[in-house]
Amino acid sequence: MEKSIEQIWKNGFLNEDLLIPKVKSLYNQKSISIVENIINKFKKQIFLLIPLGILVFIFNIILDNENAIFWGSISAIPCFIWFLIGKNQVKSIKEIDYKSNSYDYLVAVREKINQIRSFNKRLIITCVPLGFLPMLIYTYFNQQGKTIGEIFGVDGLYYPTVFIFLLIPILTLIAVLISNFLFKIISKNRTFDITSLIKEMEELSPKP
Amino acid sequence: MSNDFYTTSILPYSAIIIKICRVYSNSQQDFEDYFQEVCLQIWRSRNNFKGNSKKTTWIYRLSLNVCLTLLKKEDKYRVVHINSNNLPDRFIEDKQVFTDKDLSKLYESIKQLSEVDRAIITLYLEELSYKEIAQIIGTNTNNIGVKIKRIKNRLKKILTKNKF
Repeated sequence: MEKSIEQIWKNGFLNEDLLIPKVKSLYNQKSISIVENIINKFKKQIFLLIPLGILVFIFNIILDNENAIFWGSISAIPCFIWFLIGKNQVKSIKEIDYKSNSYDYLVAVREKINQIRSFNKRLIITCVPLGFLPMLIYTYFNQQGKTIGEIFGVDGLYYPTVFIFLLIPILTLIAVLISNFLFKIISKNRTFDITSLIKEMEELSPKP
Repeated sequence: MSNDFYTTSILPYSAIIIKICRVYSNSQQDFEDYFQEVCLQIWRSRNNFKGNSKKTTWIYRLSLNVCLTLLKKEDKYRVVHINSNNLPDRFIEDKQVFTDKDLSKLYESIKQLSEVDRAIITLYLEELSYKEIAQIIGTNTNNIGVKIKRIKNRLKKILTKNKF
């Protein structure tokens, strides 16, 4: 007699011992996916440094200094250096050993991301003033006697030339805020994902 | 995941989880991945079960959600092999689950159905009421009867076509 679908299903499970399957690598796919996502976002942001360097260069020309091309190039150099540093940072995340287990891998990635974050913050605080200082010193001597409004072509800014140096803390603060914002985009839900995954792993299998 | 949790919340429902995962997986490895993800999700959501429905209904719904989500995400993942030495060993079982011949054939045929049809027929074969199926799938009870009839006809055609 031909078996009905219902019979096959019922008999199949009556005859068959339901076996708990073998679990191989609980978090592998998830870990890799999260880390890859972080790397991809990081890469995109690093490539943004190139247009940023060009913008700094253009900004210098807008200031209408003598030898603007030379000073613009000098000012854009930190962006390009940062681009190279960023590429190395991505490489260092990629180089974290895939052969270790998922837990150690995620812990290592989280640690690396935190290192990169604090390094980048220090880099901004140092590089932004260094990048803008030559340009501003040159502008200060080159535009002596002019007000800030006259230098930038804005009416109402009747501050003396020396006020141009206020741009250093302002630009540094802006750069820090931008960096924090970009980092939040990279790590939005991602580092949290890493942290929650690590926490779950610890609960599932406590580390000695 | 404590032994208590495993004994009370996973083991009694392992048959349900196995059936659902098997319907949506294409290999033993897939099946194991789906199974472990469902178990993990049950553990994560352990505090979300408020007793508004039967525990089995909740497990069915959760298993289906996890399997369907994994199915959609599957292409996004890159398969990289990592040794995982620090995993809980209470799940580990070397035997294969894809054994029974007739049942395997039936599963192969069910897998040729759409994702939703697979869920409906699995729940029907589990002898769940139309109301329960509708509740799990999130549809109207009236549609379920008609749908099941159509799915069964399609399934019979597939079984005949493949000479199962």
